[in-house]
Amino acid sequence: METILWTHLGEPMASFSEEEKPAALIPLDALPKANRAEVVDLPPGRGARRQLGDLGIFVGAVLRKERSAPLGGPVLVRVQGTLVALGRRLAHRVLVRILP
Amino acid sequence: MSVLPKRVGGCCAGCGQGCAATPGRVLRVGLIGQPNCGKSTLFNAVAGYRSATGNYPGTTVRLTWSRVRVNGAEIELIDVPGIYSLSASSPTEKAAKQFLLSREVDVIVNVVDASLLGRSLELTLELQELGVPMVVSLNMMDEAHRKGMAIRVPQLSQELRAPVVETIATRGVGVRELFSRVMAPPDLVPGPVTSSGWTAETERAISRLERGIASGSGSRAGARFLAVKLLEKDEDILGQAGPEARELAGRVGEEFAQAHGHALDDVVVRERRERAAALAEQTVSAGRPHADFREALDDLLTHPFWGYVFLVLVLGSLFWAVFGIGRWTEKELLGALGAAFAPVTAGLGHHALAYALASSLWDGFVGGAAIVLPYLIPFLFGLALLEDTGYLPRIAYLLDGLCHRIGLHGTSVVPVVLGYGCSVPACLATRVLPSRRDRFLATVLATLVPCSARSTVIFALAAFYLGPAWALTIFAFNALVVFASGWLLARLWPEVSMGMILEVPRYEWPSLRMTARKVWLRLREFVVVSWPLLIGGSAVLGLAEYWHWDRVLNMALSPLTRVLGLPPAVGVTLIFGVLRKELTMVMLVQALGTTNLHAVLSTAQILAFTVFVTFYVPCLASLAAMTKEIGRKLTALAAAYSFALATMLALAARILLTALHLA
Repeated sequence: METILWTHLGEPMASFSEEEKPAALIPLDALPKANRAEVVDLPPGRGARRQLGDLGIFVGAVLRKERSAPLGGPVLVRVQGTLVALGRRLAHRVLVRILP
Repeated sequence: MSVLPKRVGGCCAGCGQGCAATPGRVLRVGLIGQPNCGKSTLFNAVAGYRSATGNYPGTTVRLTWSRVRVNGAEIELIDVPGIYSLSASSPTEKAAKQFLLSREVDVIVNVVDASLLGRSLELTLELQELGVPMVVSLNMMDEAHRKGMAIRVPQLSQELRAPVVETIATRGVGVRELFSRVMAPPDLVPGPVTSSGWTAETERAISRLERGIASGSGSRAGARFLAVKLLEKDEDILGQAGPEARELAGRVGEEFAQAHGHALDDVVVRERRERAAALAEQTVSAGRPHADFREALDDLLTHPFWGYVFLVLVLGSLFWAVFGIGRWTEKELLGALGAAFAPVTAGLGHHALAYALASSLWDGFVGGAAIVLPYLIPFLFGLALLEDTGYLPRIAYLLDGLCHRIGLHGTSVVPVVLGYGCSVPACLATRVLPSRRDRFLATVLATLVPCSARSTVIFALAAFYLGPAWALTIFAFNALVVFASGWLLARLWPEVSMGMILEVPRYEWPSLRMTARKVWLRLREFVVVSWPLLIGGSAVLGLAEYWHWDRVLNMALSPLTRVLGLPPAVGVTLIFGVLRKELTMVMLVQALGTTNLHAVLSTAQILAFTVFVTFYVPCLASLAAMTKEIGRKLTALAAAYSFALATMLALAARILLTALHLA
């Protein structure tokens, strides 16, 4: 994602030194189990955004991936102390940044 | 669901029958909260046997109304469906919003899950803008303590400008105190809030629109709420607003975007969210959480392998428990009740008409007591446990992947599983699904699944006469047909749905009292509606046989019974089955004149009958619920589909069994 952005935008911004460079953005379904991450982007569409926001999943929210179900099943995340199951396709369109 | 509130919709939408605020009428209190906040439990704690509670978002999809006596005074309590916010537009949320805007409510009790304070307060802040007096029930305090949370209630109360009362609804803690605050003198209940913590520029935009709406309608009531919702671009409210209000809202939004460089609707949502989070942060001190075994339990129950093993175990043991308890009880009761009737037979021996009447009435009674209840009670109990423990959403999580294979929304597993209890609440539960197409699919599949009445037929016919393996086969076969139907329908009406967004609530230790209430509530439907119908139907059939009227009906249905290879006398029972599915079996006993059905019907015939009853047209109550959810045309389509399916499958079962010489 990041590299695609850089190729489209030209040179990386000069202000980022090597250490400060933010962690790569990955779709939520690719987030490894038991990792914490910050939500960076949500799928477009008011309906989905509202529904996700109601359950505590909004840009800037911090969540922890618990696991995902087999057979392309949903992704289970813990957010604000509750569990939320997100369909795999939807989870693929939620971009997150891994937190240490 | 069995509870038909006395005044569903009508009054709340303003029926004009003395509903308007008139002095001297009882206080009308609306219970509002997010799904799984314990709202229905609180409602039940005061309202008694009136509403079912559930752990699944959207179980209480209709407004349940109850007149109750709390702390010595009478009030009207309205259980509003669980909603996350007043922004989304699922049918449930629309219904709740309409109710609140109708201004039929004098006091709002906002039930909040204290352990999820930050998220829950967003709804509280939205409700605050309605300007209706509000009392906050800080519920599930035990869970908050377990999480190590200490909440400074007085501070929260001050910030919200509303009384806040700590409660634990499951144990009745704080409920008296809550309602004493609800009925407190008006000076303790805050008036409309004018500055609700928006930033100055947002507040200016809201106030400007609010003034515009108030001068346009000549009333300040609800103007602030409408202003905020219009600025949020709420589709429902935009649809209802007058052109001037819409135009002003558009202008205010545009000017805001030009001046501040942000879309006002996003800003409103974000500021409210931030304020809720800040409120929670200010009033909660986080301590050490107690170790929670439920997280370990979830590791096991949602495990990619063990999760499915447990799923099969849970559903399997439910089946065996229902069958075991049911069969033993049926046998004992049939024996005992049969012996009890013997003296009547002897006494009425030569009064043919009196005997026909007495024995058919008795058969109807026995059918309910000995054949239906022994299976129905354990079944409903098991299902209520699945709901109340919170296992049901885990089933949805585990099966979502499989569902997507057949083009279904994973959340539709819940209505379909509820369909095993009764098709009516299953149809209502489809309201949580996002699109019309998903609701249609889930409705059709949920009504194809054998409801408890049809399960009773399967248990009492196939399992009782042919053995449990046959019953299990029918259930498995049914699941296969449901699966295939889903696959077929999803291809006939393809749509890329957004996918599952489902809160998976924590496990709750089911309260026996609450579960028993729920079972009773669903059972009451059988006891007060179906059982009398069953006894009456049995008498009608008995008399019809006595005067040989049933032949006409049986003759009319003979093409069908002939195709199914059943004796013509069975025809009339199938008509009763459209009223109530369990009637088919009891009427079968009555029509064939024996409780030892295997003596007069072959294995193939019993199976063909059971398969037909399992699949054919949903009962009247289900058809009514379906019509309400998906419309008349689609309901007719679904009914025709199930009838064709039933006939084909029953025929196939008979031919197959005969060919295999199993019958």
